[in-house]
Amino acid sequence: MNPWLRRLFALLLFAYPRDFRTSYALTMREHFESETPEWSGVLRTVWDVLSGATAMRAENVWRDFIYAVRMNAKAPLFTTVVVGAIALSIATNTVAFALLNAVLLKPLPYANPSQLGFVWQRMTGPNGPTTMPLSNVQVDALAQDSKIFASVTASMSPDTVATNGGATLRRLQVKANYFSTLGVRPVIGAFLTDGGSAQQAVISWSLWRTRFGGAANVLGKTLKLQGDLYTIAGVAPQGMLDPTPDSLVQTEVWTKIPRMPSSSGNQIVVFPLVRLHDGVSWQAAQADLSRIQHALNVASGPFPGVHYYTGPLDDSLFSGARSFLWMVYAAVTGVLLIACANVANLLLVRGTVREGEFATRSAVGASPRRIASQVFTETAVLATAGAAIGLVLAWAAMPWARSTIPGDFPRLQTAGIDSPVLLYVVGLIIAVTLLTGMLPAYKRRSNKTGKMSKHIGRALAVVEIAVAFALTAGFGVMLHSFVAMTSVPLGFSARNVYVANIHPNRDTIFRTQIPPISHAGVDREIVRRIRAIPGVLDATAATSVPFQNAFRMTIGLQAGWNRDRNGPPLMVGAVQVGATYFQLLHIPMLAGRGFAAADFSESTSSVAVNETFAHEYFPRGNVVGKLIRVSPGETWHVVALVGDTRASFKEEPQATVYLPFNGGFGPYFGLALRTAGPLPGLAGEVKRVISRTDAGAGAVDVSSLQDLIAQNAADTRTGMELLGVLAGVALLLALCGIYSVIAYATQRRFHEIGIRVAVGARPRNVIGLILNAALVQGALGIAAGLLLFACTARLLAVELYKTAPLDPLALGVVIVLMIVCAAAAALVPAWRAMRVQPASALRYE
Amino acid sequence: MARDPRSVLPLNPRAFYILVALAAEQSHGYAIAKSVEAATDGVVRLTAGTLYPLIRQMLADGWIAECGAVRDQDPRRRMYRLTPWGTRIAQAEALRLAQAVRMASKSRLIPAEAFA
Repeated sequence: MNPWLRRLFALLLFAYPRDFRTSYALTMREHFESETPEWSGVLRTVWDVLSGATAMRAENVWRDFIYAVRMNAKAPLFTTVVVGAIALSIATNTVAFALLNAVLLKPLPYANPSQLGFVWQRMTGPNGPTTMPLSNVQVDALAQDSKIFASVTASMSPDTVATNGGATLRRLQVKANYFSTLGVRPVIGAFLTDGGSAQQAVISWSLWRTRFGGAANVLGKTLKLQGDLYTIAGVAPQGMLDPTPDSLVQTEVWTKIPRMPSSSGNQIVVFPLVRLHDGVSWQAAQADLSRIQHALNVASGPFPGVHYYTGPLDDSLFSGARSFLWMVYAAVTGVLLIACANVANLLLVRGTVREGEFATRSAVGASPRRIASQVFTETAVLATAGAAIGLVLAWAAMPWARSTIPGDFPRLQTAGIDSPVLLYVVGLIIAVTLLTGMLPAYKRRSNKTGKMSKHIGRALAVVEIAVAFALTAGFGVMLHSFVAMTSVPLGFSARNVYVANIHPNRDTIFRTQIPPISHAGVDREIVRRIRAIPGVLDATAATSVPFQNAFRMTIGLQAGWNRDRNGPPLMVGAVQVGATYFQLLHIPMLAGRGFAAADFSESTSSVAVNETFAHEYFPRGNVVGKLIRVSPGETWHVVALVGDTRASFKEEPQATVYLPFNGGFGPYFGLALRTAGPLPGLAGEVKRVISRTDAGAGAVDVSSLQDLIAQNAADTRTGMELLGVLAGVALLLALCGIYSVIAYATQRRFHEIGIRVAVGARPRNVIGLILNAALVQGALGIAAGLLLFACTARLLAVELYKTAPLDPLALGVVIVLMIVCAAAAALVPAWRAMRVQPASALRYE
Repeated sequence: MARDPRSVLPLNPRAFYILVALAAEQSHGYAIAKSVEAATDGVVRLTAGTLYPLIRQMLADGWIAECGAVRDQDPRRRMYRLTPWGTRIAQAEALRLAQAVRMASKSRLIPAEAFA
């Protein structure tokens, strides 16, 4: 017979289970070799062997499975505890993965998304950089001068526009090459073109289906937007998302950015989106940007200290989500690990209880290998049952998770239990089975008992303490940072203060070329009417209020602005405020006088500065009365020094100049008002007042300043609370782990303790004996946990305020806490050991 | 064993052939396959892949048993024989088939020369 055929057959026999192979392989080979070689016969043999072996293995697995289900049903408490622990930890892990997958892991819906990115300008001010978008003129200069980008396009910020029949649509105004830069194709029709009419529109797939019935003849139809007619040129693909600097938004209609006559001197703020040529790195793009800096600066006007930078879309979209979601994922995975270690421990302990059952099975002929695979199958059944329940729990918890996660991450709302998540759960089942089942099965197979299982149990407890320590340390550091962040003085009082932000109607601005709020007196008229609302104590105009930050403005002062010192060029924050702004917000007036009515005239030059400004640029004091030369024709006169305010919890106060509000800055207008108490219906009242005036307002939103402050802290607070809950669960599970290991070890030592007591050991010595074991495990776990935390602490760094990730105070407290916990877990076993009667302990012999 | 052998009928045809072959004389695996093949004119072929799993199953169920090695043969060759239980099963299956054959011949489905 052909030796190759023989070898093939020998190899084929490995398909059978091992016990069958050992008894029949030799005979079967002989049998096969004595048959006449005939191709059909060989093929049939191959088929017979494979199908027979599969059936035999399936039968083994099925028998193990039935046995496993029966064994698990026999111990309902044990099974409930284990399945419950696995279900809870898999549920949390699945939810965290679903969020991670939806927000971060799914590729962006563009061609080669890693080649896409935004361009920014960054102005270096006295207190760190301020990031700003570019103007349309700068984008044109960028497209012309930079050869490193395959494509340069831009979009404005999305807005909401009125259409036929009183409905509204979410609109995005873009440059014509927007879609081709993203690399998306129209479903039907074409995208915007440069040369064509200004009144082209592209509609979304869902708008096409709902409003136009998905008909192909939609092309060429018209759509009314803000009173103007647009011709539909094409339909965007289903699921199209638009990248904005900090999110992905869904738009219903796209139109071209209107042309601004260059004679108007006005520029449009846009977000420049670029695509790199193949094989070009973002570093190279950055270098090229710095090369053409001069050209961009000319386009932007003579601002000092401006730098341009760019980077991949991923970074700008997901910088906030990345650290938060990975942190949560790391925390729930830590909890899962601890739960697995606990379950493994329980299985080991239960294994010793079932010693008799295993002995019987091996006596009737089961090999250690069969028993091990039996034990492993039991674990797999537990893990699968836990995962099934966990999946249901995760599915039920998804809506809660989507609404609780702070920070409005892009694509967060699309998170759900989809096929990648299901695949992940299958992976989790395998991982959990391996993690919890390996040790007990290995123990059965190698048939070692006693010493080794003690070591395994201790090692598991150390792992649990390490992971619990890392999580608790993370929580401790975040808590410290949160306390540090929220305890700094804000510099103003938000009690009963409400802020209104008035979005200008963009189309009116383009049509009239002037910000409507600048019409003389409109702002004063609005403030006067709002003051008249019953219950409103005071109201004032302001372009920006701390923690609302609707329109934060930065002004560049050129070299020589300060006559005393011939100061260097610098950037300062600028806010336009009404007369009672400082009193209303309780910002202290440290020197000089508040703005008077005369300061609000067109030719005003009075300004107030804050403490940081005075401290930085007039360190010798006496800033009141000084002059600031803004430009050759304009000089400011400092009339007041006011206290610093924080714009948000994480920002230090900026050097800021306050100018009297006279509508000169641009189309943005905001209000701050203080009431005597809670005032239901205030928002509606304010909106009504504004809509009745000639402010040309688009949307108006009114919010309580206290709410805004709470929201600002909420991002950090929710993350911290989440980590706190997970750390608490981890700590509890780890305590159970230490407890069961110590209790079990103590029980095995009753005999030894009895002898010790008999020969004169005092209760103190006995307690010391047990505590010592617990503390050694605790110390090892803490050491490993410190190492683990040090490796993962950078996930936290972004979330922290003025606190080092390896914060000594928090770490110290957590170390002490862990030691106390380890000792506490050992107390009950120690107390039991202390009460051991020498006589009864020795009677076990 | 008070079990009714009819509870395991009908048998897998291959298993029946093995039982019938072993009813004639105790034998080893390869010989069983050869005798079955010869008796059925090569129609029923027991390959290594089908024979030994069946033997193992029948051993486990107590239909057949291993007998000690025969002196003048290779000691690795294991000899099998029918157990009393296996004999009763084979008889029951043979009776069942005989009944079926009687019915078929009454219906004149079987030509007379088939019994020759």
